[in-house]
Amino acid sequence: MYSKSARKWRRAISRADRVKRRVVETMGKVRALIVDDSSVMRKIVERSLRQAGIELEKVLEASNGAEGLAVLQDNAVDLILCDINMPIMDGMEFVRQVATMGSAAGVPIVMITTEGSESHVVEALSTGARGYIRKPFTPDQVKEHVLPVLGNQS
Amino acid sequence: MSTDTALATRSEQEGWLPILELAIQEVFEIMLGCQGKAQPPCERKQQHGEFTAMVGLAGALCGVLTVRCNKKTAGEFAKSMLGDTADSEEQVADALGEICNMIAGNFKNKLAGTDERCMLSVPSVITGGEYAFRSLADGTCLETVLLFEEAPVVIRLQLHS
Repeated sequence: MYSKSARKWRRAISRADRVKRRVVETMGKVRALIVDDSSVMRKIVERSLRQAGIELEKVLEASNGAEGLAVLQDNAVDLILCDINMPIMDGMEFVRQVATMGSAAGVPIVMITTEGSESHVVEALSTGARGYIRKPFTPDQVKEHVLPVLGNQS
Repeated sequence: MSTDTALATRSEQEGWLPILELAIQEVFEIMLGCQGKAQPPCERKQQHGEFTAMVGLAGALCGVLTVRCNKKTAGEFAKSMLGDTADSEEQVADALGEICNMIAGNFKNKLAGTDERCMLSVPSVITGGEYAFRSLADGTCLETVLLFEEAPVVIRLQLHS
């Protein structure tokens, strides 16, 4: 029979396994919103998410921040990927607005943009973004920045 | 020395052309999965590309970056980025605009002290071969020509003096 401490460890390991399974299950049902004024870039971001091993239940698209807000009013999502330089409403303003939306306020936002200066990164993160990826990017970089955000969310 | 003159001098003294070429190479490698082969200046001819993508720069760095190529090459770029689903001219123009945007962003991010104070415009793309392009940014001009599947791709950064 197992000692008391061995049983304790087995329980802890089993608990950790359950948590890991839950993360994978949650990630298997990700609903993502991609906000970028380039339809080509939206497709590339979607493909990179799939290459990162994230199973996407639904992918919603918007070509600027204002469209993104409209999408969020009618749809629940688990993850938002957003460009900064866009017409009508830019990415920074979009992040600010999302923070005030009751339903979407907690959704993790990862910026994907050519604006790579430190001030932009600091501004985006202080505004509410949870990650920052500079274009051009590889699928590995998407994985590196998006998976922790989804893991924390679960 | 005025700020403008200082900028033009800076671009020459600091050797910005290799930085621009590095920025281009990174975009080609990561987004197109290829290494563009630089065409030696002596082999270059006047190019009249059918697709020209442009991104404006404003602030500490003021000017315009253009990427010019023929229709077939622009189509190959889009296919490299999207796969065989890239079929419309709109997608081809969009892909070339994004390449131009990423080159401009990557270049300015590599210039110490400039990236913080320089803004990029949303990309624009001109299609059709019958046009002449003249930029009012009449200062320093950095230009490089890469061969993509043996076809020239002209990348030019024209800075305001």
